[in-house]
Amino acid sequence: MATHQQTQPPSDFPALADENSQIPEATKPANEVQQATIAQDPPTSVFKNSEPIREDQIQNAIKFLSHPRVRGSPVIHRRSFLERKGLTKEEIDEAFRRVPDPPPSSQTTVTTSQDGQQAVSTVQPQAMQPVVAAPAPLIVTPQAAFLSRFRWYHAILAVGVLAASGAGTAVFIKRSLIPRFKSWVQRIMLEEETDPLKKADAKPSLAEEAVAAAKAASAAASDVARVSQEMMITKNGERKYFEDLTHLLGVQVQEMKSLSNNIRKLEGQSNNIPKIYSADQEVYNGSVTTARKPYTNGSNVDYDTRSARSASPPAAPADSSAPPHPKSYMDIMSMIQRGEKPSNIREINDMPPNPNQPLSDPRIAPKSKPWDYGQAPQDESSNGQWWQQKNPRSTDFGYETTTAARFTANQNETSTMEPAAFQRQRSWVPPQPPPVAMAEAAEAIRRPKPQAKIDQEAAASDGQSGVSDELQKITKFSESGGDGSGGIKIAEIQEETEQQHISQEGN
Amino acid sequence: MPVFKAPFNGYSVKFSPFYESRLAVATAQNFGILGNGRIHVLELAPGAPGVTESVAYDTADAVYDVCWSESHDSVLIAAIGDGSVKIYDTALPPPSNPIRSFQEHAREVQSLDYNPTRRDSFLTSSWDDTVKLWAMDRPASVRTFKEHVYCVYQAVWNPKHGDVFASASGDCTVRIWDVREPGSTMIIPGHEYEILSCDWNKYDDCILATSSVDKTVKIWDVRSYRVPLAVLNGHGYAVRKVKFSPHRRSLIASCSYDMTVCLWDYMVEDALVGRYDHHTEFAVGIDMSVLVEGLMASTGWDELVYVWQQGMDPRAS
Repeated sequence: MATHQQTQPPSDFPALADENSQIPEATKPANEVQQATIAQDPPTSVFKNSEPIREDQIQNAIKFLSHPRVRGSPVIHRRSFLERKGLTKEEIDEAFRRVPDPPPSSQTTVTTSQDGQQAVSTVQPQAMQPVVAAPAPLIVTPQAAFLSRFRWYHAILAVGVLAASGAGTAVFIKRSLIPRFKSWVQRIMLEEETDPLKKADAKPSLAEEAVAAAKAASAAASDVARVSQEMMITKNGERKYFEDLTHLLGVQVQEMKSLSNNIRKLEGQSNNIPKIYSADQEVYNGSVTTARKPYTNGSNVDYDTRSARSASPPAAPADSSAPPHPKSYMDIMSMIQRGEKPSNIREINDMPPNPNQPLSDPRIAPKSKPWDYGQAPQDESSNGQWWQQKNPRSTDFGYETTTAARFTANQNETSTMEPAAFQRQRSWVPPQPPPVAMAEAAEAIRRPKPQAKIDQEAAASDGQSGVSDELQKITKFSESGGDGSGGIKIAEIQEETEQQHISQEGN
Repeated sequence: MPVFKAPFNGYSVKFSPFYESRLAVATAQNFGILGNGRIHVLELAPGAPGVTESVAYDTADAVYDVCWSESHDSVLIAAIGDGSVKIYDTALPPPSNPIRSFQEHAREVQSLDYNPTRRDSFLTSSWDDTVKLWAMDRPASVRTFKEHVYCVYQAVWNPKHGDVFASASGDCTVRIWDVREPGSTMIIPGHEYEILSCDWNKYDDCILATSSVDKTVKIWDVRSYRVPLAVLNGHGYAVRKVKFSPHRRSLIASCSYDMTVCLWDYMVEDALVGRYDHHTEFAVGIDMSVLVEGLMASTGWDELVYVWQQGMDPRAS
């Protein structure tokens, strides 16, 4: 059954786009007629979400959006993450509504999202290589950068304070404890000298005292040792952290340098490339994001750094091996990286010589698609030209020219001879269309079709009486077609007419 | 089976919806990294060599996709790596071509699809994360659909609903759109990795196939899109293109970086029903003829275009 075709001229598009209606069954008379007859466009389109909003998903989304790290990321990345987790648009909007106002850094995303998105979002999971973790902090918004700077400053301060306190404690211990110890020992010695008699009695007590004192001293010493050790460890930890940060920073700086080098190289050689590139130069140069695509593609680091055309065809997930690229592909990639241009590129002017050149008139009317009739044809194949194995005609083109002659000469004979054969041979010809139950309705629906669509619909709706009209149209076609290519249409129409003949004669 | 050797690496092949023996091929120099491009219009002929070039158009930048108009039998449209969309009319002499060049996309235009029901408009999808809607008679795009956050690798019209289309993107989602709506109407997070291609079932307007870098092809029903209807495993590397047969309800063709073209029937337990390994480099373009049942064509980075009948060996002579 013929479906809705060409009921609206292109000028309807802006009108439709401007309409802010959420209802797909926007009230257009043509559509309503279509819906009534076709019943393929139910009032709620199947292409919209009809699921209710899931509260648990929204709760998860709110938790995600409230996370401090997420707060610092661009809004578009947050949306993308939630979409990839399976949330619908409504759920995402609701979650955004419920989370308190995002930090001011998110406003930058409105502009950044325009000129090629930022690098990998900080919240994107497994698809990234470890290398990405390095550039991510750098490309983070200014506020986050400010925060991290703050932390380094803090770290330095903390390290300094700890070192100072450790040193001070050590000095203090040296100064205070040791004299105390010394004086204590001296006292004991003195007591020993001045009171040898007491020694006998005092000895056990002295010994006990000495033991106790020694114990206390050792305990104190061990405490001191422990404390100083802990301080050293924390100092080392801080220092390690600090070193890690500086190392990462160094890596980022290096990558930035290499990227800018490549950009400069290509800027240099871009003078040789035709003007058409010039519009894109700003985009290529201006965006740091040329690196992002290869990273998330999981492809080799080798062709990550090219910025002429950053994304090679997406290669493979990060965890499996990339498909083996042809050797010459790698050669060209390395050439580009080195800044050389392949020598086989020509300057070509491919702009239209006459931008207002009208399109030439179509010689053939558009053909209906095999699926327009709702059934998959299951025709048997028979041998013929290799690519027309299902069509037993000897050649395609020969048939076209002879058909026209045959048709005008003795249409009836040809037609009645092999209608069934036609049906079998032409695999893309649909099975018999259903009999027209209400001819008036069918005509009314199909009436506003433009000239180009008169073929099958006209054949079906006209029925027996319209055969003469058919003939006139067909002869018009053959006149305008001129060469044999019009013949296909002629045969089609003839076929349709024949089927109608058969179906109606048989009744 | 005819083979055509192009000077550049093949990127896409499309049969004409008007002429059974005509097809167009999009090619790019230096694997599409940097260089010129060329569009070939080929004619299948009886006898050797089987396929001849009837006309070729050179472009300054790589041609990533080509598609035939459904309203004019001689018109074809090309997606160019410099972001332009060019229209060619094969009925005019070659020096008059191209007849239009639209420069709107900010980055490479990756794919084209002509509306098969309305026949008056077409979509382009680009690495600038947008999909644009164009009409043949307008000097500028009618609409821009900007929601994806990464390259949109393909946008395909629904074969039954002339206002609905699907887009597959590197942000791992497929979006369903309706041109009457302001934004996308459905978001399907189909794969964990980039989704390179999608196509609608021609006989069941709610069924969609997607192919991804994760080497699988998944079949979805948009009415219950949380779980795929089927997951087709069998390719060894990323699946670059997927296409539903215009003649059989559940038959799918796919081509992959593992250099093979596979045929699947997703309704069947053992879904892989055919495998062709004729290419010697990445197979990146595939098409099934609407006019001749069983006729298929494929192209790849090995600069070859094969046209063959299902069930036969593409390399047979």
